[in-house]
Amino acid sequence: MINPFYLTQEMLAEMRNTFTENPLVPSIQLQQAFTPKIYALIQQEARTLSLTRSTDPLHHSYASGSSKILTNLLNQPPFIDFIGTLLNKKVKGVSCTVFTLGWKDFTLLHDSHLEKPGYDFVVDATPLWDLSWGGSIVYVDGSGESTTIGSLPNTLLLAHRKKNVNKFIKYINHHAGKRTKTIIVGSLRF
Amino acid sequence: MAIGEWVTDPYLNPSKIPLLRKQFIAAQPFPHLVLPQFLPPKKTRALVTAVSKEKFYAKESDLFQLKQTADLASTKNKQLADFRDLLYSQQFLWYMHELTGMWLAPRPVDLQGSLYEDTDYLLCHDDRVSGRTIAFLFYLSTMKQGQGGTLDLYSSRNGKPFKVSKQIIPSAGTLAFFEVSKKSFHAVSEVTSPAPRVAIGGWFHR
Repeated sequence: MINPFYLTQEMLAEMRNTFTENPLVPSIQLQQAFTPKIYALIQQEARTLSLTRSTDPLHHSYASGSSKILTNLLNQPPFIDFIGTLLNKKVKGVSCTVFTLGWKDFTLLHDSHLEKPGYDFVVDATPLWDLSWGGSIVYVDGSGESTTIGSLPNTLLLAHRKKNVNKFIKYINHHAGKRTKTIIVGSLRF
Repeated sequence: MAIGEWVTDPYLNPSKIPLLRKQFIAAQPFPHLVLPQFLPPKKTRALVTAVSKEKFYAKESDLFQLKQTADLASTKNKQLADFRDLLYSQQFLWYMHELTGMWLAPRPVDLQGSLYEDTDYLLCHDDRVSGRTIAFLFYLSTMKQGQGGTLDLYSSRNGKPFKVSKQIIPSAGTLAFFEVSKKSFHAVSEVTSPAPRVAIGGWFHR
């Protein structure tokens, strides 16, 4: 499931170090994270899933839905054991939601929708994307510090969201045209 | 400086003021007015030149992406200082009181230049910060239909923004202003063209 490049002891040690480098949002982003066969499956399922459009001008605009296939896949030992090894924690399982965003879509920070501290993972299943079109995930704390994570196809982001740190998805601008960004956003259970 | 130097004659006609106030109060989705050709062309051009000499700072958050000048309260640019002094003068505040029925204070001065370029935007919000009573914009550039940069006013339901019910396309020399309230949900739509949206805007406080 996971690209064998990331499964060696040396890489795991390096990834653990990288994960702790950002004090605001301890995180790591793995490019070409999944094997081609698994990524094709993830992308196929995420891009063809029937999603529900939801808009709240003060909070978000996107389409979202859940997938039993993806939830089952990402709860299999190869994935949760890999994450657990990287984080040095016992991961019991994951939950996830598929989001698709296009031009004019976004999420906003809002006092009524703040997240509790936890660990996020984001799988990017978008076939083609230019970061200048928007759609990056931005983590912020209350003091104005921020970390922007722009994902590309077949990347896996793991992030530790500490207290008072929240995230939003940057507005997608008109240069995206009719293209859409598909991401699977989930959280870890310990 | 005299208000007559900065405001075109039709808007200084005493017989027109009560009508404008009625329009303001009755406007939907919340009290506002859009006054085209409010500034004389010569003053508009002068302000464009003056603002172009100011440093603009990129501002970015979840809610917006645009460029703004520093607060013009302390600008050294004579043209902008004169304009600022007019806006917060007793004479102009009285004029705004006549248009809105609201008592406005000469301080604080809360005024900035703004620049929206291709892909810049300001998402939906209500401007409600302590003391803000009237939000205003003097447009210094003109956008065309389809270029974005519109001031979008939202209708509301149950205290939340519902949908865009009015779009104001910027036109150089226009003054647009609205009452800040729990209903004043608005946004600036993304600029989708090379044409920039330039304005001087701010708030009057009570």
